[in-house]
Order: sequence, then structure tokens, then C-alpha cells
Amino acid sequence: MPQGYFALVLHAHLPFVKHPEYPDFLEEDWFFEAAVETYLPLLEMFERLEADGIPYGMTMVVTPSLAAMMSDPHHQQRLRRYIEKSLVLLEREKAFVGDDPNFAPVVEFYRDRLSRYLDAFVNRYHFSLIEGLRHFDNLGHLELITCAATHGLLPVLLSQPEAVRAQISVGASEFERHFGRRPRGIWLPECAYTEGIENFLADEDIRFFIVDTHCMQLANPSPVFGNFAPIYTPSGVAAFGRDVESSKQVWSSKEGYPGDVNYREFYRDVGYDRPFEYIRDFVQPTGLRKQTGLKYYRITGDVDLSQKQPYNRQAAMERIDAHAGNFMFNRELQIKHLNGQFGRPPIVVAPYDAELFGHWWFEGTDFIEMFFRKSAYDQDVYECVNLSGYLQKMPLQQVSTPATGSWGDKGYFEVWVNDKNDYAINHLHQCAIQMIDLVDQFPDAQGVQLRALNQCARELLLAQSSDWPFIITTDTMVDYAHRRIREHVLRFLRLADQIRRHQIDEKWLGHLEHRDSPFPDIDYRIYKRMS
Amino acid sequence: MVDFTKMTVAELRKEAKELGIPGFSVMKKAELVGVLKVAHAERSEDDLKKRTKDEPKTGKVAKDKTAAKPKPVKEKAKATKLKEPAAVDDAAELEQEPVVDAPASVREVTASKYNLVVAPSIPEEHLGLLPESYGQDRLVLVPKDPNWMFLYWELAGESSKKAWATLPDGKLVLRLYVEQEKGAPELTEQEVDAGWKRTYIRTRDGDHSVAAELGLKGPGGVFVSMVRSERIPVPVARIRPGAPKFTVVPLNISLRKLREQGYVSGGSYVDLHGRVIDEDEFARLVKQSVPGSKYR
Repeated sequence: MPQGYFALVLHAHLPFVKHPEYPDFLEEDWFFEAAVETYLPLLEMFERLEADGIPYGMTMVVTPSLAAMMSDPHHQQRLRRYIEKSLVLLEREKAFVGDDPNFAPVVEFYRDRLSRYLDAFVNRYHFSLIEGLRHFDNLGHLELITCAATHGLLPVLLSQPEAVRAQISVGASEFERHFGRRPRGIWLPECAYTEGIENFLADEDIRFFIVDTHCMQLANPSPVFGNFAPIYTPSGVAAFGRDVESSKQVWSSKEGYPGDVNYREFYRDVGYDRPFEYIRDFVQPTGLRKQTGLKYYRITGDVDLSQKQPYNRQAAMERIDAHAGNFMFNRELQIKHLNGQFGRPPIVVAPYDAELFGHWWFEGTDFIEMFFRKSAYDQDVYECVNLSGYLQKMPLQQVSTPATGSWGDKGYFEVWVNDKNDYAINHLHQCAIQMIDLVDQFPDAQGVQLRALNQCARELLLAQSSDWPFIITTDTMVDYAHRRIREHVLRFLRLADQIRRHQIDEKWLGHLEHRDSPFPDIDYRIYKRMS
Repeated sequence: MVDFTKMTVAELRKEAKELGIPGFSVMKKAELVGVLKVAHAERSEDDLKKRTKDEPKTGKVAKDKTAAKPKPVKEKAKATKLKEPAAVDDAAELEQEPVVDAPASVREVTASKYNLVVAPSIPEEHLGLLPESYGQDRLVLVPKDPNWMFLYWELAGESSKKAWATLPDGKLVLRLYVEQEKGAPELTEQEVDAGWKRTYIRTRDGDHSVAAELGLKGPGGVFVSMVRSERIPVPVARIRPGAPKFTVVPLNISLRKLREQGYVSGGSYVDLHGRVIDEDEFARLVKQSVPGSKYR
């Protein structure tokens, strides 16, 4: 029996962004970049680990809005175009860098990598990343779990409990549609929890969720094993607490690995480096430059972008080896120590945004792979588990209720509730109120009316995504976030009005169904009034 | 640079032949233009290289990765201002394909050209602005953190109209009912501007829950209520000790079934395999699994 357990949890999420009305849309790149830099590398990693018989127990969240894009022919075709375009650019790059000893190997490295990903995407996964993920989920090391339908911040939506129920219920049924089984776990968006949410999970027979460290420490009553064992809420659903130490090693700017000078520099990109005429076909159609994903430099140190040194893949992989070894060593110490303290095998739960690995920290997926390989061969203190696997082994736990909070800045809801974005909350509540009224008024809709009511449910869910207030707070793509809130609320209100007046504009409804198209099987009655 | 788009197909083919471009004879005009552009660019690549070295770096703001924030993933495309291309029709979409020929390695896996899913042409929507009012009386509290609660309201319904009619000179006041962990609820009152609609109210550690009420205050302390919020618990920020109680929840039995057995809520106990056991047996099990902790 191992002295303890380590549970890696990757949270893969992107908001649903689909703009068929434009040939190119900058925000759609979020999905393409993450697919090429994180999801495809992870699938390749699973393949290699399976082939080598490495036990890589881990949990991965695929949010319903991300899964909707993975399964949408619009995104599938555009992702292929994205990779093919990168390969075309690389052909030019090959000529451009010539036999420059610094850059020729980097170009070759990218060509090889992207060709492999394109081949896997087209020929192995048949354009569906879902298919690949489902395959590995079935094999048992990887456990996929779900999330609320559009990553809505549930404590803010709770003034209409029906809205929270719908987020969770659609999250569970979409998971089943994509992956062929009911989810055993859920990632609460932003780890945002408040007492009562566990009851909606229990109704779907979801057995566990994850809270941030302080929500566990402040649980009622205080958990005797702190963050190193889950607690059962009175509903029977387990809550796992996030471990601070393992998290800091990967996230922190001072102690974290991703800042190593040998790792790839994110901000120096061919899209900004090359002469405009040369690169124009590969940047925005407006002529504005953008990231192409081809980055040839390493972090180098605290120097200006122009002073960065060429990327050396081998040197980077040497650091991966060292960092994965260090991470393993620290987990051994941590778990041994906790075991001594508790007299019982602890679990260390380490959740991260999946896109940190590969997209932000380019070598991050290699780090994970190396960590699993080392854990399998070089130590016997802990076992890597997925969260269901752990609960099967250790079904006896303390009963307690986590405290309200989130994993956002300062630990509560300030990121999503502040004077920049709080205007939206009234509209989200009002739309939910109207949605519930519509179910009262049209309990058995058919035909066009049914389609319109289902579309109302989609518009409401899309408006509730926590990404919009987050983007507004972090001051990144602010206009786009405001626009998305406004559009979904107004589409909802107009459609609701048309339904009530029995004057549905069918053509417009068709456009909405085509564009705001996630969750094809949604049933608006999920908003039926709770007694 | 030569503008290939102005040349005829015959001229383009001639040019392509001279440059030794394979497959030129079956290429369409757009493809020819594309490959010629590339060939042209490659020819002058030495010039280009020299120029790049001297050019100032464009666009991207330098941002050291080592200063990564706790959640860097959402910082995407930071320095790039959103600017949307104009909406296009289907034909234009197809023309936007990259017009360069794919390398052989790509061709192997993509026999067909970019057969993108083409949208039905979606007309511009004129959605207008978010509504100012939904014609109701509503007052809603939303938790922000242990010290602040977000509060918004709308006074556009019957009840507030009636209140204004009863007390036309009344002052709009916000009442907070703060329930403490111990003792009687505390009532505070403050005058508010009807135009505010959104604000934050202060809470304290130890406040159990808060409810709010808006109404009009008249001479002699008369209060006419308009709307009341739900009572919302205040997030806690302190440790809550208590006697630990343990339970077993077997993963292979559904929660519904466990609930039917009166289980979890404390009515009965099961062992690690889901078999119902009595309280003494369960106490022994906990002692075994949780060394040093006291049962219940």
C-alpha cells in the first residue's frame, strides 16, 4: 500500500466562441491555440504513456462549452485550417531561416510536431478531440469529469435556484452525450461554492467536486485532515481541497518552474517579428498582426524581448527532467510527512488550468509526462490516482460542509462581482426569471415554439458564462466580453417576447440556432419552477 | 512587389514555368497568385533577413513570463486590440483561404482543399441596448466576500408606485437586517438615492446573514415598505471547530439509493463495501481507519 496519493486535476475550459459570420475571428484562436498547444499534446502524451504501460492516474475536466467546440464541424474544419496554415507558414520559414544553426532546428521541430498533430487530428481522431479523450477515459487511468454548462458562477446565480440546477444538469447530460457515461465528478466553475450547491450535484448523482484550500480549512466542522482528505457534505457528495504547496511550485513567479530561462518565451512570436508583406496572409485579415504560435526564443532572463536568445529544445528538455524530478521529490517528502502526522494515507490534490501546460508553459505537457514516468519508476511513496479511484479505495471520510469561496483572486467572488461587471447580474437574474415563467406558460411546446424555447435556454446559459465578467475585470478583451453579455441577453429577451406574442421570427431563430449552437439536446423544461 | 492579381492566367503560368513551380498548369488563378507571391518572397529572402535585423520590433508589449499571474491563462491576446473584420458573404469567405500551395507533408493527410463549413449569410442584428428597467420592484443581495455584499434594485412596480402615492414627500431608505450568530438581529437604516440602483454594503465577520428592505420614510418615523430581499448568508472567514463525525459513502451505490436507506444523514451505517452495519461496528471501523481520532 502506498503511503499516500497524488491527484493531478487539469481543468480544460474555454468559453463558447463561434463566429461563422466572419471568415476569421481573433477570439476563435483561443480554441485553436489551446488545441494545438495543450489538447493535442496531452492526447499524444496519453498515447505514449499507454504504450509504455505507465500508470498515469489523473482527472481532467472538459467543460461542456469546450466539448461543444470540439464536436462542432465549424471548429473542427477551422482547426484543420489553422494547423495547415501553420504548416504552410513553416514551409516559408524553412526557406527564411535557411541553414541558420540557431533557428533551422527549431523550425524543423515545429514542422515535425505540427505534422504529427495534424495527422492525429485528421486520421486518428477524425477531427474530434472528443473521440480521443473518450478513448483514454475508457482505458481507466484518465478520468474525465464535467463542469457547469457554460462555466456560470453558481453562487451568483443562486437567487434563481432553477438557473443553478440547469447549469449542472446540462453539464451532466452533455458529458453523457459526449463521453457515453454519467460523470462521477464536477468542477464547480472557478471552484465557486456556497452551501446548498451540493444538493444539485446529488440530484445528478455527481459524487465529488473540488474547493479551494481556504474553503476546506474553514469548513464546518473543521476537517481533521485539512486539505489532505476529502470531506462528505451531508448530501453524500465529497469535496476535495486544493493543495497549496504543489500548486505554488507550478504557478508561482518566484518558486514556479515555468519561468526557467531555458523554456520557450511566449511573447516573442513570428507574427510580430517578420516583415509585414511576408506575414500578412498569416495574421488578421484587418492587417493587424497576431500570434502565430511559432516562437523561436527562450525566456533567457529579465531582458527586453529583442535580447532573447534562441530556443534550444534539448536544453529545455533537460530542465524538464530536473523539474519533474524535483516535483516528484517534493511530493515524496510531503506525503511521507503527512502520513506520519495522520497515520493514514493522505491525498494531495493539485488542480491547474489545463491551458497552463503547453499553451503558457510550452514544455508543461512534457513536464507532466516526465512526472508520471518518474513516479512510476523512481519512487514508491505515493500512487498517482484519479479522484474516483481514490474514493473507491478510501470511502470512509469525515462529514463536513465547505465554506463559501472560490479559487479567484482573494478567495471569494470579487473577480466576478465588482463595479466594472456587476451591471450584468440584474440582467442574468431577470432572464432566468423570465425563463422560469416561460416554462409555466408553455409547459408542452411543440415545433417552432419548442425550438424557440430551447434556444432561449441556450442564450441564457451563454450569457451566464463566468468568462465575460472575468475578462472585464482583467482588462483583456473587454469589448468582446461586454458584447457577448449584451448579445445573449438581448437575443433571449427578444425571443422570449416573440414566444409570448406567438410571433416567432423563424428565419432569425434559424440563425441563432446555427450560431449559438451548443447543447443540441437541451430541453427548456430544465427551468421548471422548483416548489 | 509585382501585383500578380492584375496578370492574366496565361501570364501567370508563364511566370510560374520560368520559376520552375511544379503543378502550375492545373492551378487556378488564386493558387497561381499565391505560389508566385511565395516564390517571389523566397527569392528576396536575403534582403528580407537583412531588413528584419534593423527593423524595430512591432506590436507586442514586452511581458516577462516570469511575472506570471496566478491565473495566466486568461491573459490571452493581451496587447491585441479587438477589431472585427467586416462581415462577409460566402464567396468572400472562400476567397480568404490561404492561397499558397500546401507542402507535400500536408497534402498527404488532406486530400481535399479547405472545404470549410460555410455559414448561411447572417444578416446584421440590430439588438439595441440592454433594458434600463424590467418594470418590477426588486431588491437582490449577492455575496461578494466576508466583508461586502453586492446589492441591486429596481423600483418600477406597483408596490413602489403605491408607496410614493402614500408618502409623496417621503425619503427613500435602505434597511439592513443583520442577523448575528448570537443575539437579536440588528437593524440599520440609511437614506439612498433612487437613481443608484447598485451598491455594496459592509458586513462583518460574525454576521450570520443579511436581508435588505427599501421603503419610504415619512415625518414622525412612518415607514412604508416597497420591496424586501431574500435573506443571504454572509461568507465566513474563520475556523469553526466541532466534533468530527465520519461516514462511509460507497461510490458504487447511487446517492438516491443511499438516501432511501436513511443513510448519510445519520440514520444508518455501512462498511467499506456498502453493507449495513450497526453503530458499534461502525465505531470500530472508524477507529481502524482514522487512528487517533475520536468517533463522532
